[in-house]
Amino acid sequence: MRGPPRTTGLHHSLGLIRRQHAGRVITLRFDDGTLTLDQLGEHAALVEGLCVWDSRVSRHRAKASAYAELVRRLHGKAPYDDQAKAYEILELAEERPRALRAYQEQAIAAWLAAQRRGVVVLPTGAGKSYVALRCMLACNRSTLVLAPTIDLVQQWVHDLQTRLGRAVGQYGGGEKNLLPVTVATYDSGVLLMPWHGNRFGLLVCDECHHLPAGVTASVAEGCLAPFRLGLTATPERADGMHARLDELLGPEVHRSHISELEGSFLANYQAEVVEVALDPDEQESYTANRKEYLAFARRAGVDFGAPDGWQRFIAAAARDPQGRAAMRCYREQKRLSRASRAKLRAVWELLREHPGERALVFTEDNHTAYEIGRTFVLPVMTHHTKGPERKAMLAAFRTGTYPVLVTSKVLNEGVDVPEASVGIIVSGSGSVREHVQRLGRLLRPGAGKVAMLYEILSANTAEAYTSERRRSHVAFDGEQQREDFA
Amino acid sequence: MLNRELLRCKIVDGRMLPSLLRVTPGTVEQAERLIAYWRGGVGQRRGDLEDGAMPLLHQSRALLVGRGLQKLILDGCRFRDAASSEILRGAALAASAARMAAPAATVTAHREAVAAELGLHPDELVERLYGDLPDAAVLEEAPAQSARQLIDHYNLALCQGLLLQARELRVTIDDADTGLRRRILKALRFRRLLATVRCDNAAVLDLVVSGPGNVLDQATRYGVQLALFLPAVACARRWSVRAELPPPRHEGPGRGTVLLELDQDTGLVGDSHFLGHLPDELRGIADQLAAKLPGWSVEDGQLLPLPSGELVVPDLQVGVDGALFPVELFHRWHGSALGRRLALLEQGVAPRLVIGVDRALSKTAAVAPLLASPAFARHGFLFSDLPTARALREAVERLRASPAGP
Repeated sequence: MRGPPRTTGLHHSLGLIRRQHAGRVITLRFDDGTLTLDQLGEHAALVEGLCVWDSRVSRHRAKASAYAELVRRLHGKAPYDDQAKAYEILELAEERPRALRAYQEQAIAAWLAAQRRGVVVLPTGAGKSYVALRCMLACNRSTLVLAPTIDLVQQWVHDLQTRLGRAVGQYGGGEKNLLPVTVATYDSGVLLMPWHGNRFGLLVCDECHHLPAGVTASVAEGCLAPFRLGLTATPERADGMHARLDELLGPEVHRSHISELEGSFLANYQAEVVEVALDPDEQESYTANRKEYLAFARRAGVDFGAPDGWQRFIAAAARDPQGRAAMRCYREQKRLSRASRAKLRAVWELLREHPGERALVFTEDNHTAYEIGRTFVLPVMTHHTKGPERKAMLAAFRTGTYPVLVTSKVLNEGVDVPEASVGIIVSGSGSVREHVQRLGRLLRPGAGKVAMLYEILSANTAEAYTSERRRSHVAFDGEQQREDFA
Repeated sequence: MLNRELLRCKIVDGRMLPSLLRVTPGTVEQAERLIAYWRGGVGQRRGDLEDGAMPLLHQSRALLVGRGLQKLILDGCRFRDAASSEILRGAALAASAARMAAPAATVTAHREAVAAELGLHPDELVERLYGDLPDAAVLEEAPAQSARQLIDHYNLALCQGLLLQARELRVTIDDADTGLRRRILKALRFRRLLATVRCDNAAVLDLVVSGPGNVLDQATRYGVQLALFLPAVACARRWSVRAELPPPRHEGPGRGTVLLELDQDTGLVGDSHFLGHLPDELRGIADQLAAKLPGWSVEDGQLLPLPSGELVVPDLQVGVDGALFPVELFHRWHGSALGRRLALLEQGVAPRLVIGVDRALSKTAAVAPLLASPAFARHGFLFSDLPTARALREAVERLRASPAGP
């Protein structure tokens, strides 16, 4: 908005009195990711709780996300001129419609019944994007789809263009093409909303567990779309922020579990932990380095169990040479447990056990991913991989030209690689969500497919604890564990 | 600006005290060494240079200071991507993939076989396979700056980093230079911020600055814009900034807010680059007008309060025969306020205000219909990038001749 600074002070010094314009038409405008309302006058009570008086512009102001509720409250009760809404009514049609699965029908019906707002929780591979497409057809409004990564954005663009038979815009990853149906990254969405948050009637948030984090939530707040759909396999967040999804997108309207769909709509799978012993010299080095950094942490009074324990360790380590030495020890013991020689040998053995199968190798960090790539001469996909090469690598993996693909985090979520049947986790964080999402890459169904997820752990290291944390999910340990997690 | 992990500050009695670098022989030497190291590294690989800088960084007691200084140097460096390995990689990966159907017994045997197929030594294959990662980028140019400039930059970047969590800034500008005040307000507008402004005293502006959604508890959405506004404020002769911030993480949760107060005595050096856009070019227009329009005066615009409470910040002010005509320019990124301004002009408010609209903006779907209004016909003119003296003269003449005009 070009809005120059307004002058509360000048208002007073000029002796101006804000006039109420009873009987005038309320004007609703979109302004920089928010809504402004002029001339509310005696109708202010109608929108109580949704707006605040903004003395800087002498108007009422509301979050853009309050648009649907505002209009609902004003409709038929007060005259209003809606200059905010700028989305189009479309005539979307599917090129080759296909039958919905029962759980997809249930999910869509529940979403429609909830005034076309809400979150659908389905395991990866269960056809979340097809649910979204059918919701788009039900709404027939300009639609913005948000996804967390460029790979996912490209996948959405390709799928929607194929299924709808129309051009689909892309915003992010070097593209700035806004069309009535557009796909963008969450990061681009943050930049987009102040300017174009009124151009979409339906907001679809893929992997919507990303939405409540920090400034990303402003995408949903700054978008006027009255219809909203969130999709995820793993809505729960360790920070508890998933509670905001209700406010940002609507309530959870449907949830199906992996265990309900496995074997019918999802591939059968087995998960196996492979423990390997560090080589003696690596074990010795690991133990010595770990001992030194923990001793420093104790001396510095750092409690790693506290929420800010890690921050305190970093602060303490930066202060003096001993601290910096401790930090080096921390990194070295981490490197040894994540990418020991024994682990690399185990990866090779597992690949030899599954010749001709499509395997994804996951690492926690780029360094390990490239070490495996160089050692085994394998394709590595990280955020350093440029767009065209990324596309080519994924295509080669899907066709089988590359039977193995090594990745750190970029393939953790959403990207559709249905041919993958073997997953090898060389290293990872303790995040349950990351682990479930990695498993999800393998669960796209195929004739007679039984997916294998291997997790290689360095014995006698802290990895055992990390592994235990990330496997605390119903997909691995049954319903009781899930409840504990929730 | 500095990112979170490089910030240094202390909390004393609820006040945040940025750990600013003083200009001492020690800090100057540290800055000089880092500048010299990076300027001497032209032609070398980024990864090697970063590794080589570690001893330099570790020489200092405060590692964070060295990393912060280096971050600012790196921000100004230009790198050339390493030669692409994509062709070699494609061939190597294809050869490797073909062998994965029946993998060799050991990975060493596998790698040797692939290398042999490509006519390479296995070590060379390992070296070149991913030899085009960012670490392999070659330094082409490092910024030429003095140690003093780097330290000034560091202190400003540190305060900006701390302001990233700010919800609003309370700013006082005490500077009689109207041109500077105008440009500070334009910088504010360019950052898409809003402010309540008091200017009871001719020389002093009091601003409460935040984003449009701030009143709706959209807490840290505007932190970046607020931080980017600081270098403009620090250009004033006398100024102050006050912000309430959450305490840094290592201070522990639940400590409420802390107060950050900065002013001209903090020692920050402003950056006129942040003062807005086109000042030199506008000066050029003034010179053009002076040359082409004898008898006309052209100067910095004075703040123009409107009865609506809005404050217009004209870009220029043209004087003709004793009458002053403020000129407000709407560039391609300034579309949304144009409709409101035209509506005010339609009501006869600001009868001498001339408005120029960039042609790029005029072609947008939202703006094109507005230009058919009688208000634009009376007050407006079009320009491409910068207004010409001729267009401006015609617009002013038209306004003077207008029956509804002054």
